[in-house]
Amino acid sequence: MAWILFGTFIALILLRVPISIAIGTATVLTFLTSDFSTALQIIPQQMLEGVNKASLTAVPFFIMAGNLMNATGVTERIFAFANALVGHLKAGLAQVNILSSMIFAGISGAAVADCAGLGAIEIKAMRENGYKPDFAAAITVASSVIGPLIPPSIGLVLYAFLAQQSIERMFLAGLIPGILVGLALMIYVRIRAQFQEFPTQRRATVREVAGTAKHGFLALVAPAIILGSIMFGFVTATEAGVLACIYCILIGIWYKELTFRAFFAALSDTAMMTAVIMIIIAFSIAMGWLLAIDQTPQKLADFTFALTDNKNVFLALLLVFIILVGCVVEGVPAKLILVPTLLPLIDAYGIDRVHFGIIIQLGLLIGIATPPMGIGLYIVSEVGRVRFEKVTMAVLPMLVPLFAVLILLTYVPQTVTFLPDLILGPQN
Amino acid sequence: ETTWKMATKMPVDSPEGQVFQKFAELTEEYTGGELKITVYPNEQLGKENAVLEQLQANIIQIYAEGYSYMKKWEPALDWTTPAFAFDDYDHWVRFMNSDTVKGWFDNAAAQSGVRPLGDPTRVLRGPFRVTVSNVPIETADDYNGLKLRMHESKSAIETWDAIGTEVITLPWTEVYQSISKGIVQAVNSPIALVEAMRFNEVAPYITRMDEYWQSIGFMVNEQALNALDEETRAGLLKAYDEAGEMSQDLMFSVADESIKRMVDAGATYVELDTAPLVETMKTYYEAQDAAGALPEGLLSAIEETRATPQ
Amino acid sequence: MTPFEYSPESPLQRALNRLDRLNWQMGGAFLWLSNACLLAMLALTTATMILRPMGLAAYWIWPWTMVFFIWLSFFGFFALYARLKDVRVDFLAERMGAAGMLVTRIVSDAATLIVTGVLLMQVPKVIATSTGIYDGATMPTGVELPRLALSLPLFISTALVALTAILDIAKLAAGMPENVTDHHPEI
Ligand code: NA
Ligand code: NA
Repeated sequence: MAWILFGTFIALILLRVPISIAIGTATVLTFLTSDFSTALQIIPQQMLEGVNKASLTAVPFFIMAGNLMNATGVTERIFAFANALVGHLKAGLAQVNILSSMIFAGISGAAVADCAGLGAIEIKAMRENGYKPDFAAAITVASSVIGPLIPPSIGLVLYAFLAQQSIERMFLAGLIPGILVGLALMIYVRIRAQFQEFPTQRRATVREVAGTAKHGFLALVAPAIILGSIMFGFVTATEAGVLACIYCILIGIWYKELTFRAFFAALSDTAMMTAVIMIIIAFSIAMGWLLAIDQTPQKLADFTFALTDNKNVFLALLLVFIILVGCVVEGVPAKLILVPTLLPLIDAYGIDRVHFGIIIQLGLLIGIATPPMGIGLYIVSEVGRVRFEKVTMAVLPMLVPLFAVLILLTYVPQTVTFLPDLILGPQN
Repeated sequence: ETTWKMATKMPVDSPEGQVFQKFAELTEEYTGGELKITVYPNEQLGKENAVLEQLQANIIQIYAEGYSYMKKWEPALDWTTPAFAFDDYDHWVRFMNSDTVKGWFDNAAAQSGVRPLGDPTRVLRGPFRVTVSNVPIETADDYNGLKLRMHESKSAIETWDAIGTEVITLPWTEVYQSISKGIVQAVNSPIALVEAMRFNEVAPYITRMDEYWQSIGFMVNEQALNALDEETRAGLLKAYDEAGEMSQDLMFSVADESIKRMVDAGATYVELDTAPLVETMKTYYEAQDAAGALPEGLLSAIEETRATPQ
Repeated sequence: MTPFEYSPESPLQRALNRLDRLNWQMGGAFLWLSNACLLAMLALTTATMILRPMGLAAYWIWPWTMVFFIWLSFFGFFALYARLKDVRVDFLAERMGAAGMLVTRIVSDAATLIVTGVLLMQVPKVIATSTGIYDGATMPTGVELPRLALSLPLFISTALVALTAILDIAKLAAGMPENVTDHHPEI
């Protein structure tokens, strides 16, 4: 059954079928070949179940916040500040690229807003300064992985729902891993600059740093407001998303940079992006119903247990598996199928669900930077006007620091659980 | 040999989950292996309406959940647990087995082919209702002005409005946060869920108020039930009866242990005299009935099943 | 190329192009329905945050937010299909040249018709079983929204998606190019 599902899905995707139709066809064909071929009414019924999820109402607003930041010029302000701060380092603009993503991550919940909006600014600046376009595009994709780790994060909202964890806890758990990915990439760039000549910029004066900080102040405090309001404020995750959007709109009005036209463009982009995600979710939930009623998770658990009862060996297998899936399946459907399927195993091996959530989040995220399905690669090759293959080659060495962090997070669970346990108290 | 699929919302290791597991085991035993039951826990097959539609289509054969969800076929079944309408538990049991309620179930079955397996009160849930609050509630008056979390049900909201609380609707999963942030002061819950949701950490006053009694309906597909031979059906009903008995013991002992743990950790537990609330609600129900908002026969069924002095 | 950039030559092409333009505009209309739902969600949630401290938040706000969320997703299904906002991986097809584009065009339309066909065949069953109401989504008349109203936009969108695929097959037969945009989809 799993073969029909994944086989059809991947084949159709590679044949230029729109992703929502591809997952729908895979689901329909799997139903038709199952014991439930006469119960096809389950598909529309479960599609409604899939979109009727209260916790997922946060999704459009975390997307919208990123789009609004790009529409209001907030993104440029973040970039200017990061540039004043670290632009003078070796391979300075590459470091700026990473730091900007870390700041941007505090407002946006999706990696694509980073690649498409911030990425355009970053790649343009790097090209003008003499960086090779493929390197510029590659570091942009690699650093966009930070976005959905540092809260807010659509992927973590989805995981929290699937694994019955609180969104707050998952958000806190993602913070340190997100920063670690940023640092790992910065170290990687620094090491590479040791062997390779990169363009340099002069150091910004203290006055310039202060100037850009003031220029971008309202933008720079936004992440603190958003995370803070979820953690300690009076709002739910969805409301925090709305708060972020309203805040971005108000900044736009304050700086007089938000036009009606830009607002409605951001609105439309958000609606369409949300619809894509939710239609994928809808079909995936229908698929999940079939996997559940077929007791696939239990069968998989029994099979895996027969293989090994060693937790560390299991984690290694899990990592390889997640990364392989991440290469060919987009994060949202991958999570929707994998999380419910793997949870019995995760529990059986005594792995913390929060810990697993971050492993699967980063593991699948790396897929945006790998062919054939790397959405991030497509976007940066578009906005950076670089050939897809060239970005793909340039991004390969940057996967090393990403994998290093992933392995660290996997085998040192405290890197994930320390912060949520500290602030929310240990679980159970 | 038949295998039935049984859907539940509850996790396997919860007290209710244990009852369902026991039910599955007993069924296999008492039917001599003729009928096996696979339990699908954790809302794996979907939420209430979706699962009921699967039950109707005989894709699954049993759904263990509150009867009120059958209101999609017979709106009166939303009224199997009216708040503060009964003198005690036994009164409610008599009401649930009255001809009026039987008529509601028959009507739902006629439309959907889904009906209760046996005595609809047999498998207990809860086992009783409490208010968990961050201010003490010792008398019915203490509900006045209390900021109380409620689910999005018009009748529940109106009920607690009538009692005098300030009702605020919130999703269940956001209650803990909302109490700790002061958005609400209190929540009504079955005692069984208080500790699991860690409500006592933010709202240490636990008041048993017996708002209503709840059972877990074992809703079955009639077609599947009729397909069983007589002997197997008898075995199934015996298993249901024994699982029900187990639920009564298990629920109360689990509740007692949980209350003890919470009290040891600093919570306060009291039992409320609900007579004033029953009085308040009586007036409310009469007004509602006059306005045609209640199902026909509800109030008279409640009155007729009231205990007659011996 | 969008239908508005294409110049038809034969009467058949002209007729198909007219339909295609209509379909394109319909996609735009559904995009706006999605937008309106998103704005409604934004407004309702904002209202909740403002009204709650004053104790004025109405119980029906949250259920209606959910209804708009569902409608946003389902109306969006047609919009993103007709306006080519979905994610499509085209490097393999492009590598295979004109033949690749042709084959994948047919595969896409076929896959679309399989999915939409199966969904549309379920409409009678869904209508028969989607009884009851959506709890809390009270309408001004005092009654709550029927559950059926939740799935209707899905079926309307699905039907339109199916028509779009059929139209594309007709265009292919008439020697017309498929609609493409250089918009790089985001997810
Ligand atoms: Na983020
Ligand atoms: Na970046």
